[in-house]
Amino acid sequence: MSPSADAAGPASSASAPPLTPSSRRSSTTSSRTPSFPSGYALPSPPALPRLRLATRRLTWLACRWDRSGPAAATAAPPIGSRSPSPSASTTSTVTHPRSKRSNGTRVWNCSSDSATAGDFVYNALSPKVAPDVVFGPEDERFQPLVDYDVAGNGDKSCLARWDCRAPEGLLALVQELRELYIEYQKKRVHMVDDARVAFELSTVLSKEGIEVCMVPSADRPDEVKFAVPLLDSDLDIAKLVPGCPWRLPQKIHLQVIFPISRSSSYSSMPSAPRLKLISTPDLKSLLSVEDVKLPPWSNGMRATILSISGIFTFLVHFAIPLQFPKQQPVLTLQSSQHCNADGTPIMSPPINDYPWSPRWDQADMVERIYDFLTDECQNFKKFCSDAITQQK
Amino acid sequence: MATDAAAAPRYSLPPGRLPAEDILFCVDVDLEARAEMKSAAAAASSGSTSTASPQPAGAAGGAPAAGPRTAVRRMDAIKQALLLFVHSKLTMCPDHRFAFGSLGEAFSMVKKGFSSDAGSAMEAIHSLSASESRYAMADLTQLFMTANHEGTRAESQGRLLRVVLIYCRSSMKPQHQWPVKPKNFTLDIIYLHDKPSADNCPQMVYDALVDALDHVSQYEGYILETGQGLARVLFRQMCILLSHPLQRCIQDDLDIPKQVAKKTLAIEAAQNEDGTPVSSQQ
Repeated sequence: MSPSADAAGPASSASAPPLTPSSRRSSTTSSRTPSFPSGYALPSPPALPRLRLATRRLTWLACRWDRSGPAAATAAPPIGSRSPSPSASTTSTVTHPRSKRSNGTRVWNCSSDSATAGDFVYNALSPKVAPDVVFGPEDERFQPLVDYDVAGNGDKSCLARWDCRAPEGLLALVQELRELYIEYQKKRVHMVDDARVAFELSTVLSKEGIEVCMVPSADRPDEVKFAVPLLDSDLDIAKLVPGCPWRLPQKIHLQVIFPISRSSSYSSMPSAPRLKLISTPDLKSLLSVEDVKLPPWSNGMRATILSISGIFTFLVHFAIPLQFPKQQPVLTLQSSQHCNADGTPIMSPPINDYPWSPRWDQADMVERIYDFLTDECQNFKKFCSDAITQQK
Repeated sequence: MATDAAAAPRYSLPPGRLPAEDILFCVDVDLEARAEMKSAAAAASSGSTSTASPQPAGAAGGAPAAGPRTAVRRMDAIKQALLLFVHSKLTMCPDHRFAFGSLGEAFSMVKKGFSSDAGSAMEAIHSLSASESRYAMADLTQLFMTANHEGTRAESQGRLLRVVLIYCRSSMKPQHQWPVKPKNFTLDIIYLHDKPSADNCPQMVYDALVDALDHVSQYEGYILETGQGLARVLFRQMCILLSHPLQRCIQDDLDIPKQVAKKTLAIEAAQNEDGTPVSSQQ
């Protein structure tokens, strides 16, 4: 016996009390937090040193490591030199006269992505002496031993207590140099004068395991490469699967390569970084990193809030540009109650000339935008009414 | 989420990429969708939503025109609300997709597949029309079956499936034979009903809707109702449903939209009949 809909007229002016559920509504959510990626892809690691540890086949060609200066660290030892003095072989070119060093062993390989390379070279005539390490031309400024001096806290390189009988000696040296190298690259990257890179560094580097390095290039703008590990370092896939033939721990990283914008004008949009997945070879057999489609780099962030002034309900769309906070968010108001003839809701033109300073702290920024919107929504309401009137 | 307690906690959104949504609308096309809205709504809203072709700006907007004497029916307001939702959601993120269906005795899709194309959404919305007679039942089983199937597909594509049910019957409880199953879609409900009277039972219908929502919804789904017949209330409720399920507080804590009115005007706002929450801070 429901009343017919035709008889339904406009409701009386008294408002109907809201319906209440007779039984308490239980929360149905299991508060499940999906484990979506955080938006940062894993960078591929800068080269993992692949150790081909000395065996009897190794013919050692080494010079004494001398800490007398940067040139010493980077000088390529002449073949057959008996002289422990590095000054004799000081060369800032640090070329790799491989043919001359046929008795050396390239111990520290780098991935083809990285421009760096290092050679660990033993002296065949003085095998008990610690190896020399030769770095690539881009790393002329890498002075790991100088860093120890500068730090002045008494730390010493493991070269200071080199024991040629210790089987783990070379590994320790490689690891030490690698850590120092990572710090060196971090400092280089911090010196880059690019607002976006600086922002990324300030927000990203606190996360475990993320590494950065410079990628200098002759024919295109320099780049900064971030490498974010995708797997926990303590997760060893090989251990999870019985009978797994992989001998080395597997890694997978996301590389994010930011071009450094040369111009200092903030109005030019920096181009999106390149994204790439890099993994160790065994893992590639399981997961093709070439085919993985990574989500496109978003060109700024958007957020929308719902607000009401009196009985006028409206949305405010915030478009936060990449140059935020130097550039202010662009605001667009949208009515919930007014629409054009084709049914699209009426929107304000984009607003980006409201009072703004990137030096305000966040709470200030929010408060001022709020105040601005409180006034502006009145203008917008009028704008909508006018638009409707014009349509009639 | 921020509450109105004295020490309101700061709202913080953890960084993360939210999956894009596939949203399936199910619109009740029973006779009761022809009920008239309050005439005030006609003045507040504009244009026509019952014509399929866009009108040139400046035209009266087709039938029914938004003049003060012409009735706006529930279905007209629902269509405008759907257009509002689709355009707003696409403005927020162009990756969301939509599909439309109707509920008579059971559920049927307007056309297969989800699309983020605004034009095709508008076409589907305009094609909805309310029946001229009452249906004998309101069976949601097929709706849930479709949603469950689409939910699996959406999950495999890294998307989130939502169902938004717009229900209009004041005396007919919806029913379903959906078993207990793993939940893979989120259900929201908007319930438009007549004022409770001796001849109807919207409270019972509402309770049944709540039960159905609790039974199937994966994440927090909202059920919003109004018996006031005001189109702008429906539009406001649709805007609340714009929220992504993974960004929602539980409905008990829901208190948006908040008034931006300055403090002196807050008292005035509290006296309006909409029952919108009044913000006491700021």
